[in-house]
Amino acid sequence: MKYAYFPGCVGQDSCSELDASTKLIAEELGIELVELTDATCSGAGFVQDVDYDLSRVLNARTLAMAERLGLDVLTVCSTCQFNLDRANQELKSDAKLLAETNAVLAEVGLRYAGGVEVKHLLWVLVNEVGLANLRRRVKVDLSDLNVASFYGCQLIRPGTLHQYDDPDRPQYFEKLIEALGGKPVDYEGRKKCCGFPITFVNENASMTMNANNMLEAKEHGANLMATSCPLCHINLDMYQGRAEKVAGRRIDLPILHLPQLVGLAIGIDPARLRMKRHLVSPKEVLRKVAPKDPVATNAGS
Amino acid sequence: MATIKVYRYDPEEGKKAHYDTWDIDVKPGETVLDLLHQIHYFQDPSLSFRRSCRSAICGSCAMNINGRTGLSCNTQAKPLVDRDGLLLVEPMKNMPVLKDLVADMGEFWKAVYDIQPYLQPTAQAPKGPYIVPKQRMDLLKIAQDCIMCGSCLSECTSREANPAYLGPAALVKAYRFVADARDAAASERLQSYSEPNGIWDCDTCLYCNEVCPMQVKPMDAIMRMREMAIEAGIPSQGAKHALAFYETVMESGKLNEFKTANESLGLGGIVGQSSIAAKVVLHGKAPEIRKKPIEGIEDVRKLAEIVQRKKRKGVTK
Repeated sequence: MKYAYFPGCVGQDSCSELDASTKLIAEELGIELVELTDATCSGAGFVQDVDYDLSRVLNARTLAMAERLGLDVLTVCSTCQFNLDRANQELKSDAKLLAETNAVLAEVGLRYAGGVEVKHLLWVLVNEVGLANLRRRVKVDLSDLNVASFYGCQLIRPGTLHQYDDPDRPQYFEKLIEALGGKPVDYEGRKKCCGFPITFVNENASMTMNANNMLEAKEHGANLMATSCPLCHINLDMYQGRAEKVAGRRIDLPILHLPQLVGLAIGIDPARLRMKRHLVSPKEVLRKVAPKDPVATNAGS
Repeated sequence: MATIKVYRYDPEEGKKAHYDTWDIDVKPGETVLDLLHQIHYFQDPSLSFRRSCRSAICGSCAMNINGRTGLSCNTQAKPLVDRDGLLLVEPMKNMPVLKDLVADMGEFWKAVYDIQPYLQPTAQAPKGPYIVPKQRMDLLKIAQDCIMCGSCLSECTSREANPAYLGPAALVKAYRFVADARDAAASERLQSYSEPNGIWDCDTCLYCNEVCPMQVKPMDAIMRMREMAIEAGIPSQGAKHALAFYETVMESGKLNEFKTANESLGLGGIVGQSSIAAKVVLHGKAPEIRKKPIEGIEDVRKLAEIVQRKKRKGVTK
C-alpha cells in the first residue's frame, strides 16, 4: 500500500494532530505515504465560490503530481476528498474539459491523463488494510467506549460521486469502530452537517446544528465522538463551548480524529497521538480504556 | 409479508402523533405509493397522503421513506424492506404536519414567492422570437427540471437550524431566472439573494443534490450564484469570507486560517471570538500567522492568471 498523501491545510495547521496521528498509524499499518508537499489547498468550497474553473485547474495540478509519482491520492479530510474527487471525476468524464485543462497545465509543465483515484483514509482502512487485520492488531480494550461517528457531509454525499458507502446508511465508520473494539452509536446526526461552512456567515445556525448533532449522539449513549474531517473537528471541538451557549446546555463530548481512534486501539501512546491538543479533554473518557495485554502495550509505548 | 409503519397525526382527534403498522404482502415492482393505496382502500380509509400523477412528474407525493425524502410513486418498496426489514413512512421534515403524511408546504411556497419567480425581461422586447444561444440554455440544465416536490427542503440541514433560510428549492428557482438570458434583473436578484438567509447560508451539505428525484442540483445552482455575486462585486459576509480564503490560497498555495478569520470577521468579530481564541492558544492550536508558500506558488499564480484571462475572453463557461 503506497499513496500520494494529501494532508490538507487544516490537518497540518490548527489540527496538526491529525497529520501526526495519520503518519503514526500509517507506519504501524504498513501504508507508505509520499507527501504531496507542493500541492495547493483543494479549495474547500471557498476557492470554488470565487473561481470554480481555477479550483478545478489547481486540483488537476495536484492530481497530475500524484500521477507523475504513479500513485493514487490519500486524503484525511471529507472536504478535501470531495473537492479533489469532484474535479477528478469531471475531468475523467469529459474529454474536452480534460484537454482544455491540460492546455492550461502545460504552461507549468504538467499533464493529467486521468489515471488517478482519490481515496479517504476511512475507505483505505476498511477496504485495503482490512477489518480482520485491524481486529488482530488491537492492543487496547475500547469496549467501554461508545463512539459516535461523524462522517462530514461531503464524504457520503453525493452517492453518485463516492463509490463505496451508502449515503443513506453509511457503515464504514461503524464497521471500523466495531473492529477496533468500541461500540458504534447509531444516530441520525452522524450524516448531517457540523455547521462549519457557515460559522463565519451565520454562527447561530452553525452552532445550532453543531449542538443538535452532539446532543443527539449523547442521548444515544455516546461518550466519545470520532470524525473523518478536520473542518468538522474545528466546529465540534474548538467551537463546542459556543455550541453549548446556543443550546443552553452542557455538552462535554470529546472529539477525536479518525486516525487518533485507530492509533489508540492499536496501542500508540495517546501523548504521541497529541490528545492533549483538543479543547474538550478526552482524559476522563480515556481512563475507561485499558491495555488488553499489559506486556504488549508496554512494549509498544 | 412486510411491516409498514406509518406516521399518524390528526389535529382534530386531539391525540398525540403516533405510528400505525400493517403487515402487507410486498411484491417486486410495487412502489411505496402502491402500498399506501392498498392501506387506504382496504384497511384504513382515514389514512391521508398527497398523490396525483403516479409518474414522478407532479411532485405531490414526496414523503420520508426509511429516513430519506423522495417521491413515494417512484420508490420501490421491496429493496427497502430487504435492506431495513421494514418500511417506515413519515411526512416531510422541516415543515409542520397537517394530517398523517400531508406536510404543510406554506413556508415552502412563501420562499419560492420571495425570490420573485417570474421573468423580468428588458423593457424592449425583441421583434419576433427571443433567440437564446444553446450555451445559455445549457446553464439551466441543473435547474429547470424541478417539480417543486419539497424533498430538498425536507432534508436541508441549514433550514433545519434556521427556518428563515430560503432553502434549496427557492434558490434553485432563483438561479433559473438569474441564468435566463431573457431576464434583465440578474444583478438586482443576486443583490437580494446575497442578503442574510440567502445563498451564503447554504452549508453545502449536499443533501438537496442527493435526494432530488429529478436530478436537479440546487447546491450547484447556489454555488454558481455565489460565484456570479462575487464577480459582480456584491458585498456580503459570505463573499468577504470566501474572498479572504481565496486570497490566502493565492498568497501561499495553502489556506491561512489565521488571516482568513481575521479578514473575514474584522476586529469586532475577533473580539467576539476571544473566549475561543484564548483556549486555542492555550492548547497550542493557534494557527500559523504567516504561511510559508509552497514551492510551486509562482506556477499557481500563473495558472490563476491564465484561467482569469480565458474567462475574460469568454473561453470557459
